[in-house]
Formats: sequence, structure tokens, C-alpha cells
Amino acid sequence: MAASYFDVDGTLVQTNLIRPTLYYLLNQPTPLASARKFLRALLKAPQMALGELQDRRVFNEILYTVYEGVSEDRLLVLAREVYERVVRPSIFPGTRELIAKAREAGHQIVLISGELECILVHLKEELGADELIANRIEMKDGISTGKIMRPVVAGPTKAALLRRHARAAGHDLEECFAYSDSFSDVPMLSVVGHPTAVHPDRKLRLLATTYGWPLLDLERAGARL
Amino acid sequence: MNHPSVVTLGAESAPRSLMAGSRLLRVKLPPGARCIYPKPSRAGFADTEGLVGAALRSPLGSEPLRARLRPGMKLTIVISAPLSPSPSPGDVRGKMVESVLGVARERHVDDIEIIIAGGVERKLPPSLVQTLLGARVLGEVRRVRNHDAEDREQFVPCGELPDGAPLELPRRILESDLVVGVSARSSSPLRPLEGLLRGLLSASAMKAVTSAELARPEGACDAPELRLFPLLEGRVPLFLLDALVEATPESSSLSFLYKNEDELSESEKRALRVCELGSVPGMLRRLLARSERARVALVYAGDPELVSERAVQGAWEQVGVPVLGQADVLIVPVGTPTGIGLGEGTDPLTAQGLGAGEFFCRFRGHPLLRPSGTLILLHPLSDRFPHQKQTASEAFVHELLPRRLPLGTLFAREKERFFSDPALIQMYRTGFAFHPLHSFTRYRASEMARHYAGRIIVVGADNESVPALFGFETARTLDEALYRASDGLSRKLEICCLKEPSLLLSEVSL
Repeated sequence: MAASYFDVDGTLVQTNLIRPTLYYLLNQPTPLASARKFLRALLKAPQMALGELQDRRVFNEILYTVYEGVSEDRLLVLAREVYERVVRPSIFPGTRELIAKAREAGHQIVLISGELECILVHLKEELGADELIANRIEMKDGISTGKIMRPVVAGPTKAALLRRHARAAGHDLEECFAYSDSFSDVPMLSVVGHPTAVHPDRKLRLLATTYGWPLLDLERAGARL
Repeated sequence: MNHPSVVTLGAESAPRSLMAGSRLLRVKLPPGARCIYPKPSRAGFADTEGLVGAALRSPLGSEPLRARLRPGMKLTIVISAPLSPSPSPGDVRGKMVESVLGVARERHVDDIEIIIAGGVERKLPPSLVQTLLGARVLGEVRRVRNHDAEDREQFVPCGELPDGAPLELPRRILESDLVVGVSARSSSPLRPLEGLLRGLLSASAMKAVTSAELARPEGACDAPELRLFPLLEGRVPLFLLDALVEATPESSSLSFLYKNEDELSESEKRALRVCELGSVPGMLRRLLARSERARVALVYAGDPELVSERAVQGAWEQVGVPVLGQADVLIVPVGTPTGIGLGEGTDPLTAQGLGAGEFFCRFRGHPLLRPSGTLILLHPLSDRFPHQKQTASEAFVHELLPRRLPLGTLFAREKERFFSDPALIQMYRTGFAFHPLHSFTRYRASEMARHYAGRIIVVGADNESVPALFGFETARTLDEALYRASDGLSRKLEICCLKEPSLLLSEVSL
């Protein structure tokens, strides 16, 4: 049996890591708290931009520090809201078709993303995926420390996690598929026999065209002209 | 005595100019070689609407279309692919659909849907749909769609193949009170009915049909293809409308490319020299192709079996050339000077499917080539595939062909893997790319030639690896290829060359 590994943000849904975080920032208990949190995050923006240039993992680590001090139960409630209001409306029209085709081909469906697990667990249910590999926030006494638990799901680590998952599940990597929109996921795309670029960024498009990887557009549903 | 289209060359004959991909190759053939030219086709008529209207009023084996339409019924119009002839402005199929819609309007039929039945070919992008059908049709019918062979929810079982596998067609087709099939041809000897039905099958039914056809003995690709219509047992109320388009318009700006080189006027010779200088830019050729208006010579309408028979007969009458005797060497240029297939005809998988497949099989009676003779193809077979359209073809050539499996084994092994690849299928569904099954169909087209010919040599190839994957040899020049073909032959080689194989059918007698 083979598996299909799907990156999530920008691949299956139109969101990115920032939108759910913004939603969280702007939905604090009071407007004042929202403004304070937002300003603090804004101050970290240049640091995040530098981090993104250097390594996607650094970017993730800085981004998720905004969750520091949030209680676990509030995080779960917010995650449900973020899913319903931000992620769910952004699922691409072709996402379900693609997953259905992968399922028809007998593949195990695995979502692998730098997004928070507590948000994506709802997407996993919605899409009927079998497994989810995503980032988790560290909790201490029921309160978030703002740190991501290791290994951070990003860049080359995604490839290592994918390999580990395939080995444990008994999949032949040569038969597996991986889907992503971002050049930062090239390591993950490179370890499977069937890499696929989905609405790729410029660098990934160039690479996909050069190496003959399929290019997909899930913004269009199949039955339409 | 030879037919006027079969020219036996002498020592003084001018070199022949033959297409090889997008280039014109100038080759000197030995005296005694025969070159077959397209024969002047029957003249078309300017009044397409008039011809179509007459055919709809007096159909073959059916009531007139008007009598088969009534208010409140479901009418589906199916446009048959492949897209031949080219959908230049004024594509005849658009005019044919307009005529059908005119009758439907008179009879107050409102529930109309148009399906472009491309099967596993790539879906037509909106711009080409516009060119194919025209603004008037698109303005009148809201529901126009490409057939989607992978949209599982729309298919309904409607018959069985001989091995018990189900045939599936779209629900809309089976629920329609009348299905009007619209097709056009200039030289294709294939039955329009089969092309139309295959264009409407689900991918899984197409796989079942392919499996059934592969079960036939190897090398039997010249046997009639599996006929699907009788298997449907009357479940599709089909009315077929087929037009024969003139194949070689005399007024064409590129008509000198089809003529005997010894009979060209001075200005035509000069034009030929210019074309031989290098690759004719694609843009220019498209412009020239667009400036031509293919005119309709004949229209048949009515019972699908009768129309199919007459359409094939019409194609033979229009472009069939009687040829006496087979040849030791058959030279087939691959490359069309005009038409929409320009960009699509140049990838190596398509080129081999045309040269060693479709063109090679355009015969009646006997193949033009003697058994174990040498087939020479002229094409660069460059290892280049337009990425957005041909990802599946590239993967097929580079991943599956190196395994060198017999065709049946390859299909059986990859049926649930490569031909069901979710990413490639999604590209077909939403990215206007070819379905992975299409690459197999293209490759399979040349299977008969692979078994029948002693060797297949490609002249003008710019690499050796791709021809080798297809099982072909390469030669740098035609002379080198002919020298190899003469190997082991104690008599003079009998050579036959097709000037423009896409516009020819050979009726070979021994």
C-alpha cells in the first residue's frame, strides 16, 4: 500500500500559517488585549521575515511564540473557531476530488503541515484523512509556553518525518505521492516517487517544470469546463 | 497503369520536400521510387448551412431531425473529438451545431446540453471551445462542457463488454430523449460512431475496452476495433451528423506543399525554397492555417451505423489512392504543414503514434509495406514534452517504456497504478492535460508496425535514446537508412514515399 502526503496551507486550503494566528491575535478576551498582542507580534515581524529567509523552522518558532500564556482549553476552543471561520471556508474546490482519487487508488491519506495540530485535527476529520503530522505547542501546567515541540514540522524535517512515517507504515517511498505548494517543501517532495506541485510558488514551478513533476490547480473543480 | 497521384521518379526528377516535424527536408530519392501525392479532393461548397439542413431533412435510415424533436424533451449534442479538422474560424462543427439548434428552436426544445466528447484526450480550454463552437452557439446554449472521464458520479452502467466488464456512459446521455452526435473529417478512415462513443466512456470503461482489445493476438491492430454501439442494445437514441470536409483546398496558401515537385511553378519553387531554409515559425503556420476555410463537401445524417458506413466510404472516395504492389521501404514524413495539431504533433510519443501508427495503418487491402520491410519515419523525435499538457506522456516514455514489457503486460501491471495516478488524473480534470491512458493509446497505435515491419528507422532524429525507447533505429541521412534497408536484399529496393500521409489513404492491390 502507498500513501499520499499532503502539505496543507496553500496546497489543500488557501490559508497560510499567518491567517489563523492573526485570527487568534484579534480575538483576545478584550480589545485592549488584542491590540497589545497584535502590536507585540508586529514588533516581531522583521524577525519573522528574516527567519523565513533563513529557515522555515525559525519562522514557525517565532510565529508561535504569540501563543505564550494561553490556557490549553482556550487554545482548543480557539482552534475550533479558527477552523470553522478561517480554514474551512478556504478549502480549495478540487481538494476533496484529489483526496477521493488518492483514496480510490488505495492510498493512505496523510496530512503533513507546519500548522498547529489542534487546528488541523478538524480538517483531518472533514477530509477523512487517515493521519496527521503537524506542530504541537508545548504545555506546562495547562498553559502554553509558546514553544513548538520537537521535531518542528517544517522544511527538511518534513522529509525526515515523512520517511519515518512511511517506514513505520510499511510504505514503499517509490510508490508514495507528496503534494505541496512551496519550494521549502522540496526535500519532502524529493523523497517520494511521485512528487506533485500544487499552485506552486515561482521557484517550485520552475523546478516542477524542469523535472516533469505534475502541476495541479485545485482552485478549479474537475467537472467544470 | 499508375493512378495520377502515384508518381514514379526518374533520374531527372527534382528532389522531394518532405515534412520532418516542423522542418521541410529536401531528399533525393533513387530513380524508380514511387511518391504518392494527395489527390485533388472533391470541391467543397460555401453553403454549409444549406448542406447540413438538407441532410437533416433527408437523413439516412431515420426520420428527419425535426420529426424526432418535440417540446419538453431532453436533447444532448455531442461533439466528437479528436479535433480534426482544425477549429480555425468557422469550424464546420460549430455551423453544424447551429443548424441543429435552429431545428430545436423551431420545435421548442429548451433542455439542451452540449458535451465535447474528448474521452481521455485533454479537455478543450475555454478559448478553443469558443473557436470550435462559435459565439452564437455559446450564446444560445448555457450548458456546454468537456466530457470528464474521471467524474465517477456522472456515469451509469449501460452495457457489457464480451468479457462481462461494464460499459459506462454519462447519465445525461442515457437520460436524453435524443442524442445528436456531430463529427467532421477530411481523410480519416475511422468510423465516426466509434470515435464518438469512446469519447463519452468513463476511464474505467475505457480501461476495460483497452483490456478487451489487447486480448487479441499481437500484431492484429489492423483488425476492426471493438464496436461499442451494438453492446448498448439501443439504450442511446442516437442521431449522427457527419461532414466530409475538403482535404486539400486548391485555394490554400500552402497548396504547393502537397504538389509534385516536378510540376511546381517558379513562384511555388521559390516559396518551397524559403520553407526549406529552416523551421517555419509556428505563429506563421498558425496564421496561414487560420486563413484557410475548410469547406464542406458532403454531409450525412441519420442512423449512426449507416452514417458511419457512408462517412468512411466518403473519406475513401475523397482521398483514397489505388496503389499497385507493396514496397520494401515505406517513407513516412511526420509533420503537418497546417492545422491545430502543430504544437501537439511534435512530441515524440505523438509523432511515433502518427508515423508508425495512424499513417502506417491508412491502407485497405494490404499494407503498403511488404512484411518485414523497412519503415522510415522522418521526424526529430526530440525529447521534449509541453509540460502542462504532456506530463503523463513524459512519465510514460521515461518511466514505463524502459521496462521493455509486452504491451499487454505493461497495461495489466500499470492499470491500477500509472493509469490511475491521482496527480496525473487531477491534471487531466482541471489542468487541460492529457489523461495517462492517452499516452498508452498513442503508444499502442504503432504496435502493428512494430510487429509487421522488419525495422523502423528514424531519419532526422536529434537524439538516439527516445527512438530506442520506441524500438526504432536512427540514421543520419535517408541514404544511410536506404543502405541499411537494402541489407540482405539481392534485388533493387522498391521504395514508396508518402508526400502528405495525413491526407492519404492507400488501396493496395498485389
